[in-house]
Amino acid sequence: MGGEGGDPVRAEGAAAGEVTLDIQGLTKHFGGVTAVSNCSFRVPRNIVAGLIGPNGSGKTTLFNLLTGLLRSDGGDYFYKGEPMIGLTPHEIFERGISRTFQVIRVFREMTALENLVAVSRDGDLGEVRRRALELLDFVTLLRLKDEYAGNLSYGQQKLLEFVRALMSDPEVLLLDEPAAGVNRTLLNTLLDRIRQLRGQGKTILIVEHDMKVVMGHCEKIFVLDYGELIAEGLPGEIQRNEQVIEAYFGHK
Amino acid sequence: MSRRVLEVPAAGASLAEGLPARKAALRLAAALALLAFLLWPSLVNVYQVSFVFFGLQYVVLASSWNVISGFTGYVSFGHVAFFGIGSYTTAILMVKLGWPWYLTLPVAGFLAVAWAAFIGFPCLRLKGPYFAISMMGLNEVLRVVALSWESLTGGGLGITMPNAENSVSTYYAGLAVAALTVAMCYAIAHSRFGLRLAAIREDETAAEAMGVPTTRYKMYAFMLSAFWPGVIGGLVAYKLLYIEPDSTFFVAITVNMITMAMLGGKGTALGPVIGAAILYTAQELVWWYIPWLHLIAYGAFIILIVLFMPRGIMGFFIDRGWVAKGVIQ
Amino acid sequence: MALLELKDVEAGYGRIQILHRVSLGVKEKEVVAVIGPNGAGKSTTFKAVMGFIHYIGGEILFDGQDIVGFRPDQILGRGLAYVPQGRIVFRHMTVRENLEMGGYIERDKARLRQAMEYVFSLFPRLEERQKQLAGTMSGGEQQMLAMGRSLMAKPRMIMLDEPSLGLAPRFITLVFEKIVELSRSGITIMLVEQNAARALEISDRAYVLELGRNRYEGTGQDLLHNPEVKQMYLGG
Repeated sequence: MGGEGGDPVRAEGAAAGEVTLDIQGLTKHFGGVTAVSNCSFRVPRNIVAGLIGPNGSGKTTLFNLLTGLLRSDGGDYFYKGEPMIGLTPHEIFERGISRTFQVIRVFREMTALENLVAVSRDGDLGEVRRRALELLDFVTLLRLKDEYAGNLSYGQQKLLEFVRALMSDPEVLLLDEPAAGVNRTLLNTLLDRIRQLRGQGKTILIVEHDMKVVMGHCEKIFVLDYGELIAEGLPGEIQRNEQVIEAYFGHK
Repeated sequence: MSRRVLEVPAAGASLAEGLPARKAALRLAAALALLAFLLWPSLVNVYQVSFVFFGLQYVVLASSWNVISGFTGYVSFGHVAFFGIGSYTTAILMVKLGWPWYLTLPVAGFLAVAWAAFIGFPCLRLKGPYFAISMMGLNEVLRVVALSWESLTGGGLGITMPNAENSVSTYYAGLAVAALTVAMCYAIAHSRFGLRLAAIREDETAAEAMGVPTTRYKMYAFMLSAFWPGVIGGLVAYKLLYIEPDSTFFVAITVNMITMAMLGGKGTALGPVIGAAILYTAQELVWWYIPWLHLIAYGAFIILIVLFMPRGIMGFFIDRGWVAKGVIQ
Repeated sequence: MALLELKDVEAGYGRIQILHRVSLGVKEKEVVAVIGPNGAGKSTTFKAVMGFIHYIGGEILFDGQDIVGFRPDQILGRGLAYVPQGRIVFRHMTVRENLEMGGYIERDKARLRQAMEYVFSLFPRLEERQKQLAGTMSGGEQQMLAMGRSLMAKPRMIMLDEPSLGLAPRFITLVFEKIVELSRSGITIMLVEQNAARALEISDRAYVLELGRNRYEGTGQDLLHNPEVKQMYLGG
């Protein structure tokens, strides 16, 4: 039940408007280990989608491929019909794809406000500052604007990284384990904001281990195992999918 | 341009109440200090003028080092190379082409920048310790070139410039260079450029993923960090009227600028200035009064700083809230 | 009767509490598995036993003795060995040297040699490759080495933390076969595993944790065929 590998012509056709990310046969090897293996699926526009799979199934590697941090060993990927393979992280970012990291990478010895202003594009500083403050407020961090990011709690740092990825007003947001280590209150804030972003027309793909979050908040789920896509569908379907259960519970 | 933004009480808001008075006091102190600097040569003897001059030299070096190492996080162990290039540029232009000293200074600066651009391409791809050591190695290369290329540099014998009464002129030139260097560092620190450099320092991968053009900006920072050391190198050469490879490409000068910047607080604009002032004065005093203890005292001083004030003096002030944490509030 | 016993153990990292009154026991010569979805606190259980993390409350007894606050080398001295996650072998040392490091607390050279022969008898492949650099071995072989190294101190019980993590399927089979062999030779084994199916297949008993709490308990076979346990993994 994997995704179909489309051909590039189709990606540029009428379907382009509805499919935001078209991943076709992406592959990545590390030495003798294949982390991502001929992975194909399509993420529709304006959706909150989940990317799940047991440890080592290649989820973060896939994110790194999509954002240009890793060069793929094969396959293609298209964003709104445009080929993205081979672009640098900077170029991919410029086109509207932003991400957060599994291990938090906020700029620790800079204040929360500075974290946001640092990643802004050129332009009126007053405008940038206003937007940064707005985003901090969006995740209830406004009162901490002048605090060093390194002094914030883990959950607060996650929220900061989340809005930092929003500074460029990206169309696509790739979130790597946004719920890990975050207390329930902050998590609810985060999930609510993700819903709001979805309401604004954005496309959000979340790698996550917390099943309650995934099943409760994702409209569509893609499942990886050993670097391959083994299932995609609605939360209920995925929960009943034998192959997925076996992937998580263990192969005999 | 100025909008009424939501006023949120920042941490340490109670300090803000005393802020206008504090700021006025600081401005007054700065004005008085400036006056003192300007009047200095007419108040004291030649030795003391030199004393301050070499202190200003270190202000320039420490501040410039800070741009690539403190702001951007690419710690260089060979920054004296730019100083050396500047020194030799001035000396060669004066002695071989008869240029007046003040015209050689911009050339000295630009040649240092050219060298930075040349080595920046390969070396800024290196990380952490590898970058540091490659800088150190390249400095040694320059020193050996200066030692060997006798026709150009006079080799081990060095270059001697014609005698001149230059105590006062070099002092004021040095003051100007120091002021410009600090102004440049301050401008960088308080600009978006500086914030982006800090982002590169904090997490280059994340910065790049967030759209900061890291390769370009590192190069800019590196080139900016080379200019004023080149200029001051030329000026010092003229002041001393004699240079030779070992004392010009001297690794101890690098060590000095590093410890001064760290003492004062690398990563801030004022830190290296404070660090240079304190450490240079301390060095001279120790050398003057307890010369036999000089190295031990200096070493002990550095150890105490690293143990008790790892983020430097400015870091100490920031932790206590006397100085704001961020440059953009 | 239990060789290792945890009663209402609470522990965590700094201010974050991971284990909430976790209780479990391992009898002599048993193979007991601790399974559960991500974030269940499985590996944290081992770390609590070894004293690597912040202890908050509860009892941890080995062979009837309270070992809370014991240093890892003291715990090893009592006969409880720990094989951490990730096949941490000394990559630039040979297999033999790695094993010698495992026997570090043994001062008597004769006993050390004896221990090495014992480990070689259990892992003939390690004997074949004793001069090979650990870093050049396959993942499966490195896992053998890690296990063998833990046996150099002749422990009564070993705790295996995710032995199959990151291994190719054929090595996983090998590793689990080895675990069964070790059990047959008399060593008590507790293992934490992501691959619940395989772990339950070879276990006498097992505990299922979720979010740092006990959820289920039973024999390996019971839990293996319990649909509730499987659904738990997918948030059911």
